[in-house]
Amino acid sequence: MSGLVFDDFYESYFDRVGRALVLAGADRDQARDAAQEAFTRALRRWRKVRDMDRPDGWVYVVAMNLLRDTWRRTARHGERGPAPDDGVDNTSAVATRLSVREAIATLPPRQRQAVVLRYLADLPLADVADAMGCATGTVKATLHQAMQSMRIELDDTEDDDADR
Amino acid sequence: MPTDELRGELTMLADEVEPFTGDVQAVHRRVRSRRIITAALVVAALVVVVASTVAVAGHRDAGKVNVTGTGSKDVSLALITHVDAIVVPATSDVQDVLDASPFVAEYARIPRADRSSDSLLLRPKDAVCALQQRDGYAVVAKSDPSALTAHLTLALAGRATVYDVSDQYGSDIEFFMKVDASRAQTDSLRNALAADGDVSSFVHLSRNDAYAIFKKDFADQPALVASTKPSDLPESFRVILEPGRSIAAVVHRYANAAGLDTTITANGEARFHPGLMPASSGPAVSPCSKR
Repeated sequence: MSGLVFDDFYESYFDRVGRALVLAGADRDQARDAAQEAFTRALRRWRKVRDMDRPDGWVYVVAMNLLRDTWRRTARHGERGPAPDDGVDNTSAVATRLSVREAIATLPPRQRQAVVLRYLADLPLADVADAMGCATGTVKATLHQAMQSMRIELDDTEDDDADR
Repeated sequence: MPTDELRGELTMLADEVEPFTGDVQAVHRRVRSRRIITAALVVAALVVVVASTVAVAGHRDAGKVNVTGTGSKDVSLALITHVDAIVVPATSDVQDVLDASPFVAEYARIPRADRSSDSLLLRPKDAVCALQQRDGYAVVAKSDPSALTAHLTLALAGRATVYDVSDQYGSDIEFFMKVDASRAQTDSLRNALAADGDVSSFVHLSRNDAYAIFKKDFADQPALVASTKPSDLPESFRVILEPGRSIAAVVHRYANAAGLDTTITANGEARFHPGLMPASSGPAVSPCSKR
């Protein structure tokens, strides 16, 4: 990837990273700020980042960390961080997609982040662990918990192995 | 639900999110301005070294004047209030040169300290990295700091490295404006600082001043210098407080000043406005990895 040009990289991934952050529980401003800052940091050390296996993975990880910092800070100031979405409609015999949305919205922030990084950004466990500042074993456990509660919420079928 | 199906669902959910429109030029601008800011952070980190050592030395000596070495100009770090140059490593050989140099007023030993975890050092000055490896000396010039650096660099060639920190060390707080801050915003902060009773003195650094510092700090990266214009860099205010006043209180006072981007303090803290982004995030890229 050594020929990767930053501007092209940004073009390809800024939107994706922003969307992932929203799915992880950020509001749009938080998502935009965290993504922009993460790309800024990537540009600062671009020679290193572009030679990584997954430059986008690095950005996802940094952005997610920034998001968590933001939440921590706003929590300290008495505002609410990411909350499970209100008004989850449990009456539904709805399509699976809506159920996943609902199920994700009810997950605690850490589980939500882990799910987004692992299954949307498709990062290896080790990178997810980096992003969350914990061991890969902890990530597995977190994903497992997430799957469990989602299964409960989804009232769904088969378990999937958290460690692909 | 199989994992792949979950992936698919997540992707669809992500697709439903309203698209984000990026601004890559804003990223480039932010990086340029932050490069000069982190150069200042390095200095802040140096101040931390000196300050923490002063605390230790002060405690140990209970305020006594302490001549730590055999050299005639060797003093306790606690007695030094200003540093013009950093010399690494601290050997008796180097000490002899410092003692004999007519340009050296006094100097103090800086103990080597492992600051590899210091995440503030995004783009460290070599001096900070060198100080992680070896003890060094903080040197005070008799009069002209640049003459001191020039003299020591020659005299110590091959034996030690000399880092000129004379123009950067010494303020309690540096306020960086946004690169696109308006004239009115800059004037407003200037007036506020001038009227602030906690502020002893302050210096305004124009974009051209910033550019001069930038050129010096990045002399080893000509392409970067060539691609940067003074207008890419932020104006700033270097502020010295009255003795005993709280840095944190003054920083807090201006936290929401219009047009303010970043505040750097002598205790090594950086505040990026808006949305303080501490540099603690992400996989570390070691600041001194080249060594």
